[in-house]
Amino acid sequence: MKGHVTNIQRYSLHDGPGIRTTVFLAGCGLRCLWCSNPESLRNEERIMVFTSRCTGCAACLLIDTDQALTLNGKSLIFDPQKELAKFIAVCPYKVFVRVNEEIEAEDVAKTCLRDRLFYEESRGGVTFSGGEPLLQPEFLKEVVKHLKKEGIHIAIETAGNVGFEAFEAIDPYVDLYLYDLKFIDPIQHLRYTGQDNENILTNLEKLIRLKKNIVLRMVLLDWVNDTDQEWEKRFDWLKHHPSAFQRIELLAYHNFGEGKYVALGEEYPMKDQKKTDNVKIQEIKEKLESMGFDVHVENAL
Amino acid sequence: MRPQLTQNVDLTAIDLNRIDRLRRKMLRHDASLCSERALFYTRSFQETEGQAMILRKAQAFSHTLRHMSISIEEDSLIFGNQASRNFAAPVFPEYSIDWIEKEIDTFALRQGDAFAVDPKVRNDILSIVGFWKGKTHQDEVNRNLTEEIKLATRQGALHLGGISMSGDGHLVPDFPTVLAHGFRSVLDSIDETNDFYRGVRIALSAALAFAKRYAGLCKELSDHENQARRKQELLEMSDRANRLFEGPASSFQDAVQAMYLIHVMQSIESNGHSFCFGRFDQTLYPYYKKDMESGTLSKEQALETLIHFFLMTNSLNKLRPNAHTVYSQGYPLYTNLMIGGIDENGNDATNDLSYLCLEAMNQTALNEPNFSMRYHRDTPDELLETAVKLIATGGGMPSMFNDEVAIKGLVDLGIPLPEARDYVAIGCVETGIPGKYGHRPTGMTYSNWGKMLELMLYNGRDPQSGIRLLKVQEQDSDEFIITNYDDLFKAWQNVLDFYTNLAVEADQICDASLEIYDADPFSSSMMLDCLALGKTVKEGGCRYDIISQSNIGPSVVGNSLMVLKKLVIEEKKFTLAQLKAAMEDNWTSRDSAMIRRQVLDVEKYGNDLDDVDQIVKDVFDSYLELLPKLETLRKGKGPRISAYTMSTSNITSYVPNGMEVGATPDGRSAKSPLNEGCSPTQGSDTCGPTAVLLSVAKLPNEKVAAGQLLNMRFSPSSMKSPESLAKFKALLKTSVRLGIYHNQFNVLDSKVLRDAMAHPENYGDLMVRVAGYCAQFVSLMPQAQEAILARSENGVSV
Repeated sequence: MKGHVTNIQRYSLHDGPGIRTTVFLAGCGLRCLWCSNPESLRNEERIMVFTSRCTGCAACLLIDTDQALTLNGKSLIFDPQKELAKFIAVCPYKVFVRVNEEIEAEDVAKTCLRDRLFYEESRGGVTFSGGEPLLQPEFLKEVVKHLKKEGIHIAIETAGNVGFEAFEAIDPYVDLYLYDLKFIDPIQHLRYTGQDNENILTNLEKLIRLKKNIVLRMVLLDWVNDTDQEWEKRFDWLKHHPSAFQRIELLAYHNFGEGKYVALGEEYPMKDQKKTDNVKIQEIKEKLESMGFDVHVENAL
Repeated sequence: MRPQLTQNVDLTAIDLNRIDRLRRKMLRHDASLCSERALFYTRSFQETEGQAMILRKAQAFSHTLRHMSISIEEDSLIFGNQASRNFAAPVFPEYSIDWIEKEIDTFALRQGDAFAVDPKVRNDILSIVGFWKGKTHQDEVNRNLTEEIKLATRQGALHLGGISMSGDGHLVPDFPTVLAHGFRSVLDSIDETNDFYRGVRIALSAALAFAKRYAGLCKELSDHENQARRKQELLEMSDRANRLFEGPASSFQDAVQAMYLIHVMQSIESNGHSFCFGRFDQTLYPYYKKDMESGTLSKEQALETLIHFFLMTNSLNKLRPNAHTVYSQGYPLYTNLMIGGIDENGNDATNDLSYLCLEAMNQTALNEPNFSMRYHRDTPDELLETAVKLIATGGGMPSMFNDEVAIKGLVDLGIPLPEARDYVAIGCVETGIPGKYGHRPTGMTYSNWGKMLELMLYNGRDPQSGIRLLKVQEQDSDEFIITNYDDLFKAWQNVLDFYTNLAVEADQICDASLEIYDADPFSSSMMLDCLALGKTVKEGGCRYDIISQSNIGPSVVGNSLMVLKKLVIEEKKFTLAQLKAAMEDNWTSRDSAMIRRQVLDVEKYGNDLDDVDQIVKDVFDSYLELLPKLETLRKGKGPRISAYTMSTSNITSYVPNGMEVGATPDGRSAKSPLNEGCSPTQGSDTCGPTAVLLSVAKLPNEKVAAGQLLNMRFSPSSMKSPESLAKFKALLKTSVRLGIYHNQFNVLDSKVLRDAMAHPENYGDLMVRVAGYCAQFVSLMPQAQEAILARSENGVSV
């Protein structure tokens, strides 16, 4: 069985315990404005256009019958609404790149298994992320079954906006959930992700009741979701789940994904967004620790 | 003061201020030339005309040690100077003089590794040029080089390394014995039955006298010193100098001082480099233990001594011709100092000093000593963790050696297991047995495999120089015809065989001359079995004579063969002629670029892809198969084993060697660097470090018994938290299980490196790992800096 895979990243250090391979599956039901993997939002092949690689050779123009491209010297402009796939074959400089290609589940598993010695030594394993990995449940299950047969530690990074049956189907193979929580406030959640969070919180609470291993991950954006108002709600919610999480990870926002929007011909919705300052992160961390949580900060910059 | 790495030692009990002053001095590293040695050697040689070379060298050595300026570094607890100033390189006219005369006015102007030359020094040196013309080691080598070898070097296929014009170095004295007995007892026991013994007597007497001169100087300085603590220190140093080498080293500090002064004297006797300290924590431990038990030494005193010692190893220097400088940039002396590993019984040998050395390196963070560590499955977690923390600071040290692979390689060469377990790095990655290896384990003649590949594709004709030394196929033209992969690989084997034979011939010519001109009674007296056999190491006095060349570019060759196999032979995407046209065009036109794109899409070594990894392995094997027939000059003259082995330790030579080679079928552009050691070609490893390690693990690593070099770059952000350090440690432990020979790491941000290129003045202390040693980044040539930047940065998460 095949699935759309955005990327398989080996030696992944920030998605669960130990040395891991992270498999990014394409397709997501949320549209978080800060998403750093915009190419993985749709469960289909996409063409990314890296115009900085263009040398102005104009090979692409020879087959550009519907004016998808404009070339001015080495400066290439493209129309993302037009068909771009045909340019991949003719461009000598790999300006046009196909992502989210379909891969056999078994091949994904094989790639993951190559690093098993590293997993063993570091108590690591494989993490499925995305996109939303639970949106390709059949494919995911097939890959995970291969891996579980080999005793590999499996983590699922999810935003939880799926039917709970998706969790139930995969759960027998899962060792750890990395559960992303964007907002407690449903209005804000809707505003920034395109969906409210009722389903997300219900699923999370179900997992908690089932005593699953969960790492709660929260990305922090300056003045977006690091406000006192929002955090009062979070603290309040967390108070009701004092021993629900193995650990809590606070992820400082970064804008590494910005270039990908450009390559997709899309606008980056969070232009000029700042990351939450370290003092604030520290305050939140200390407060959570005072509530008895094991808190870690991932600061990419 | 840098954040402390180790537990159980109180840094505040150490005078860190003077350490900081001393460190800053060493960091400035204002290199210059010193003419003293050259003048003393000339005067002495003028008086010994007609005598055996070993006696002339011994007397000149003695004359120099007895008359050169000596000084005590103001803040230092360790004494011993190689020249009249710190970082002043002595001149060694007996090895070569022509290039010095030619380049003397450009030393100060070099892009990398510049040397200031003051007018007096300039005059001094020019005044002796006449005496040495035609009488040097280099002249002897040049007289004997065949026309064919000279043409091969003009093609760029071979490069005569340092040994064609300077001493060999690469010695780790049998320190345990030397420290246990000193020199006096040797002097008392030798009969002057031949010139070697006569030379040893002269040299060791001079060494004793040299130490005594420091005793006098320290006493004198003490008399004039007002500060009570320093006055006492100088007095103790004076007493120590008086005792030195007269008998067994009587304390830890005496032992450390003895090792340092021996190093200085070796660096005056010969201008070979890589005079190394061996298994430092093992050698010194008995002295440390005894002093700790008797209460005469504290951990803090031991650490302070080590820090001073580490700093002082940076005060020496070596002048190289410009053409060699590009091969080995950053003023390297490759003074390897090693810790960790197993003992002769196979048990872990970690001790207190292993940790203290890590802390000393952490506190000094300079490019010498070239600090390395042995490890294995049972290396204590704490030691590995401390090493990982030091690696994470970004200084490129320690480089890590895998006991299991290195020892297996040496045992397979016939070295008894207990001795193999005592192996050590001699210089960069080259491994041998301390006190028993009398020659550089690697780096004889440099073989440019990238060039050989290019020669093959032009039926033996070098497209740049037009020189042809062999026809790979019958036709007279430069056309090379590919019919099937087996024939293609056979053609490669033939080219490699041809040039390897030439390289061995070149090795032998250099070695024959070194036997005369690099006669080193001082160093040889400290090597097994020279005193017993009455021979210098070069005459066959060493116990093991295992050498290798430096082979540069196996990954480029493997990747290129893969492209030819897949695109030209199997899929027939284009013909070899079309590919060569694109290469000659350096991939610039649109058609050429289109070919290159297909070439780049072919799988590359370093991504854990079995087909191409197998081809790179075959390329390694094609050389390993040649080894049994290669012979050294010492075979049957003394050493218990004489043999050739393989190594990929190649210092910065992958950069200048790359400059000789046009575009290659793997998509590499003309003149760009070849790959470093057994590392993937720059930037072609796109699957991360685990894939690189898995690819390297498929190579015949344990047969590359003189050292297999792997360099990897990590982003600082991947080495920040305790958790990520634990993951890095797991990566290292997996390396051991995978049978990786050696790893060295740069933990550097691309942004930082770019900024350092733009503003070198702000980055004097930025150390980077160049193949096998560390250098100040700003002292490298721009091309070498670019090559470091081009290494894939691992652990950048998006």
